[in-house]
Amino acid sequence: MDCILEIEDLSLSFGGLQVLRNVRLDVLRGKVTALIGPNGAGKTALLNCVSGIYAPQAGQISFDGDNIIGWSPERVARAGVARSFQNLELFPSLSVLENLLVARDQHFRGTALGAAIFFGPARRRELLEREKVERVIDFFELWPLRHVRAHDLPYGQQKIVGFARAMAADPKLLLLDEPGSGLTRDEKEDLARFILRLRFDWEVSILWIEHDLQMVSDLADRVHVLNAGECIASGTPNEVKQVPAVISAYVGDEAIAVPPKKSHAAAI
Amino acid sequence: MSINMNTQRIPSSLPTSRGRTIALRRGRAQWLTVLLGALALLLLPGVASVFWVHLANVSLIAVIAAVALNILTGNARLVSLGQAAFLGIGAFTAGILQRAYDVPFPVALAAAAVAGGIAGFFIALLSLRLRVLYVAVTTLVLHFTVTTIFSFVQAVFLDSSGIILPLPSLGILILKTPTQWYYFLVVVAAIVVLGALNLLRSFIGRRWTAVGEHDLAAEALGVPVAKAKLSVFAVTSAVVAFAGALSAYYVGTFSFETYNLGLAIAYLAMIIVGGVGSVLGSVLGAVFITLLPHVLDQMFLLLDLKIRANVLAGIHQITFGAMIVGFLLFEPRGLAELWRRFSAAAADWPFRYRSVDRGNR
Repeated sequence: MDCILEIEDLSLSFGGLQVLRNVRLDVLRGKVTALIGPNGAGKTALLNCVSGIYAPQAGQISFDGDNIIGWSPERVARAGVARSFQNLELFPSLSVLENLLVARDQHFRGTALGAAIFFGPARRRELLEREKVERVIDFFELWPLRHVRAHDLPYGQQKIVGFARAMAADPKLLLLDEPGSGLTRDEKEDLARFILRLRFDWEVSILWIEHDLQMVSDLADRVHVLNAGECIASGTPNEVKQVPAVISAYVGDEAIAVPPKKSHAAAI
Repeated sequence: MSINMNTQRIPSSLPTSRGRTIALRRGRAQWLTVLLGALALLLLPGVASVFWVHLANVSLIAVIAAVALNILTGNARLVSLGQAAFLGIGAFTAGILQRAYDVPFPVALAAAAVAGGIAGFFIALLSLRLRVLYVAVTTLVLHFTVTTIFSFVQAVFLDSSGIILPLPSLGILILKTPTQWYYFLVVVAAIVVLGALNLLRSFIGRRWTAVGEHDLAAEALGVPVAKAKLSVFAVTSAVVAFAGALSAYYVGTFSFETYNLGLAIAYLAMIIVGGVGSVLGSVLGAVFITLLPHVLDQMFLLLDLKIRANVLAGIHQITFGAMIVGFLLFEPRGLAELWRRFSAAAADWPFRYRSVDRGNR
């Protein structure tokens, strides 16, 4: 199978805390790969390893043929990996348009002096990149929001703008960190539509962290399940659903179920 | 449908362009405001007394330095207490070069800018991994280091009472009277303001703001964070040092005592009162804080109140402090926001709010 991202035996720990343990997973080229798992399973940590924010102790991450372990976040991004963040890391005082243009940073050339003079090459470049960003604005239907400061947007729109900003970088691999959390039903439907359209219209591979299992089984081509730092299952959504380890990780089993405490009931 | 395909979406025959949406001035009303402002600046020496032209000159120099500080502190979020130090670096570089090699005025100014840029670059290197408060402490260290060096240099190599600079000349033009200085400074300040506005709408300005607001997110988007921090410190410090050299030449003499922490705080007050992160705010704040004590003095003079000098100094300090606290509490976006609201209301007059089809910009 043609994989854009292959992770092998990835281990990450902070002091005595083992966050990821020999994780092995892959992302298919041009497909949507979901990464699911309970809270604290290490999903975001894995994304941070891929984008170069965390330095894993062992393992290999190969992106498009390069081993990107040890690369700086900037270098990873320039190689074609873009991401959205869980906690809305938009630039609050910049407009939506400017937020998207920051993602095109690597395509700009020139000095501060040229930028201060502005007219001529700097202006032409600005307009050219603006046209590229306009395609993303069209795609995500952000027309009325172009000049609104990110700080003034409601939560759901900030999430979509975060998604759009990652796409404005025109990445080969898109990392989405819980784009659906906190969205209303309508906004989630928009999100699902955007992911599907990207999957079919845009040549991008997606690694997508999501808690909404319904959405995952509807949209994902392949699912990896993380639990307590280990990858416990990989496969199509339907295959993964049958794996006993996944079921016990999500709903627990009798062996580890804790009986309700009496004192709780008394307190209520 | 890749992002790179078919970027020519809009027929050029349509009466619209992206160029218009990134223009600095939109619409006739804004052009008119700029035109009227330029006219007022041009005519000021004709109607004002020499004293007020002098104050205008001091304000214009403050504008140049405040615009730079506001980009560093307001946009890139690197709080600098080193403003006085950078101003001093400019003055001392120009002064020493003038004294030792008798270099021409433009060369001394350029050298001051270069020296400020180098100092800013090294401070940025030291504070590359630091955030808000820690950057402020680094610049505070710079302040005390540099001022100590100034006092030593001045006592040993220059005159301990202060260094006197000759009248500067630009080719055949000699800057002697306040009015001559005024026109020169208006042009320089206009260039700096225009440059700042252009920088902030370019990728460099976006990079600086992005790194200031969320360095991790910026880095994950491919923005060279270290380069951005180094460049914003170097560029703005160069402009501040340039303003310091201008100021030394304008006054004709300078001494290390001028560059105290109070001066650095006064500059922070300018950008807070004017509007953090706004070029217009830097201009308004610099003029406001520079004129404040003098306007108060004139008021007392008009009211025929005889106030002792030491009491007057106290009144200046209290008003200064009250202004900072007042703006922080009631209008954190400063004079620039007041102006924005006023001009929006003026544009909609006689209606109370904007009709829907006028849009939000």
